[in-house]
Amino acid sequence: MAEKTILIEPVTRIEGHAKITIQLDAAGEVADAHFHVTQFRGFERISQGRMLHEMPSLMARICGICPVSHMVASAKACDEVLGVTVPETGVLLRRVLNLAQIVQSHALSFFYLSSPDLLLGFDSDPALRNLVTVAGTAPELARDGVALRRFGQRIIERLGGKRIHPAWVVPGGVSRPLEAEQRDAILAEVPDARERAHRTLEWFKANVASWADEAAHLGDFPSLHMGLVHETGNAAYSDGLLRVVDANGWVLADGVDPRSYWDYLGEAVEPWSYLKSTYFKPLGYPAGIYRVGPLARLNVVERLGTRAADAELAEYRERLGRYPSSAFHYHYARLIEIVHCIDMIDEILSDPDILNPHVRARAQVNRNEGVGVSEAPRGVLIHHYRVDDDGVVQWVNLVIATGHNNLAMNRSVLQTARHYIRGEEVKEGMLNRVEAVIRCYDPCLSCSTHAVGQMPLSVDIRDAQGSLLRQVSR
Amino acid sequence: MRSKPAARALVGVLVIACGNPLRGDDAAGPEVGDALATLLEGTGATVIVTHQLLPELADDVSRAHRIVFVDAAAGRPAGSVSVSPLAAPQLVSGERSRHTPGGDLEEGRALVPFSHGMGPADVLALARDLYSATPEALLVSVGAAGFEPGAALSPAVRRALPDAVHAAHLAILAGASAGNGSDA
Repeated sequence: MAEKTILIEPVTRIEGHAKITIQLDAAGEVADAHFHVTQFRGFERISQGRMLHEMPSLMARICGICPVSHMVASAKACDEVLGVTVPETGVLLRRVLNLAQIVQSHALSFFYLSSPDLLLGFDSDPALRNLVTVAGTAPELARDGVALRRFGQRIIERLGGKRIHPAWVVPGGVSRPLEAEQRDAILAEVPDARERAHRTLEWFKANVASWADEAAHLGDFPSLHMGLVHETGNAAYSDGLLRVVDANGWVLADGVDPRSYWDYLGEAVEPWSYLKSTYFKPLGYPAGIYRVGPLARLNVVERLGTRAADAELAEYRERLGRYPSSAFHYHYARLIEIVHCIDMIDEILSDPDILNPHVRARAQVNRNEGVGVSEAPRGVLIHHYRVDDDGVVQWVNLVIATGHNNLAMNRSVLQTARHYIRGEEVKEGMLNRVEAVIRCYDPCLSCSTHAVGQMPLSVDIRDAQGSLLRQVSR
Repeated sequence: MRSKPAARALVGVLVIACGNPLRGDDAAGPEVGDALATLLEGTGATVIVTHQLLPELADDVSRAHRIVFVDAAAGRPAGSVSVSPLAAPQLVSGERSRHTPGGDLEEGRALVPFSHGMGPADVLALARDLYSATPEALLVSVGAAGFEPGAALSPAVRRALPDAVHAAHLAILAGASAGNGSDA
């Protein structure tokens, strides 16, 4: 048989526009595979010439799913340019907003995008693999998903004024303090959200054995992991320092000031994707493959820092080992993070000082460069700006979570394809698993390529000469 | 997403006006929604203006007894206004909420139901399946000339906005008796 390529285009149920190609050799075995990001946005260039104070709101427009993450990282970069210390209450309020962002984004990823595979089966009718069918099949699971997403969105709306693209986070802090009425309204919804998060986690744990094959073949390989860690060893989502561990837990970098990220992270560009491939410089390209996001965060921290989530983390490690390596476990990690984020929101808002009106520091430009880092739902997010003395932006570098994971996503696609695809007869369920491994990472391509995006995925089958033999599209 | 709850007589009436104000005639929904929010101030009706229909709206829908969706529509004469009744998709021989790619958008159904691409009927299906809610629902459609990013409303749609607001207001007040599917 001739060599050929399978093309999956568009990749469905992801945030953005992409395709997958799978190259088969003459024996029908998978020889190579790539995840191609085909949209382009270009915010690094668009923002040149804009004023610094515009940046958080401008950067929020990168993404409708995680605008808050971009605002937080951007504002932190601006803080550094201003040379200000953000008032503690301002720091805490930003933190609550970011945690709410993680809850709503994780809920979208797990319930809306991935639960159809988990609930209905990877081989189920693709026309039915959607949230509407989940609602008809397991209404409680779907209700929990809708409610958890709404919980996070309501917090963002209450704090930021609107659910998408709020303009509350500004250089120096936040634009207005929290009102007691807003705080009380959020806290009143915590118990319900907590109950739903735990119920979902129990559902996942009760069913995880049925996905053993996927767990073993959806991106299960040794890699480095990177995340922000508080000096106590707890997870840090809005602050903290970078830590990199290998597959066995050896710490390769720790206490790294995010301002020196360029000493540790390199960016490679491949001709087949608009998404840059980031790698850990000391190991070179492509050996410096690493992952970020929920799986990596749980691997780099010693603990999360809230009681219930740490109990779940202990059980997770007991089940999977201390450093789980399968991308499939992103789902489990994501659910534990939802529990943790809800408890953190509760803890922070229960501090009376959260109503302190001093939430913003003001200053002019005092430095010409700033780096801001936060944990977005999908992983470490870095904004790096250079400005002139008038605060006009001259240069921008954005290192996005999905870029950190690009090498790992490509390796995951290859591994998954090699396990599930044999020969010319390719069943839809096989292709769905190749897509599903991408969904594990919950990539956000609008964030990472800076398109008028749609959500379409396609799989191409080509012969040895590169001629297209078959294309499966949706 | 912006919402403006108001007061009494129309408590339980929900308007969901959908569209992107930065994409030409897709702004018809938000324009009509904003006008209705002002018009309905103090009546108890709730107006939600949103870029897109999301699963979370099922929760809002479940709390209302009458829903009026307002949206721009492709494939219709620019500036035409019509009101039609909507229902959640029916079950098909034991299957739950099966959706066929290429489903009829006039029935408010998305091509493929997804978090970013739900149609009004999908939202109604979620409200039914999650909350056992089956409110009366109508769709006010405004025929659009184009949806180009950065474009303003077309003259035809701009001229039709008062008719669209009027048609939506009648639907809000009269419900199904206003939804005869005819052009306004």
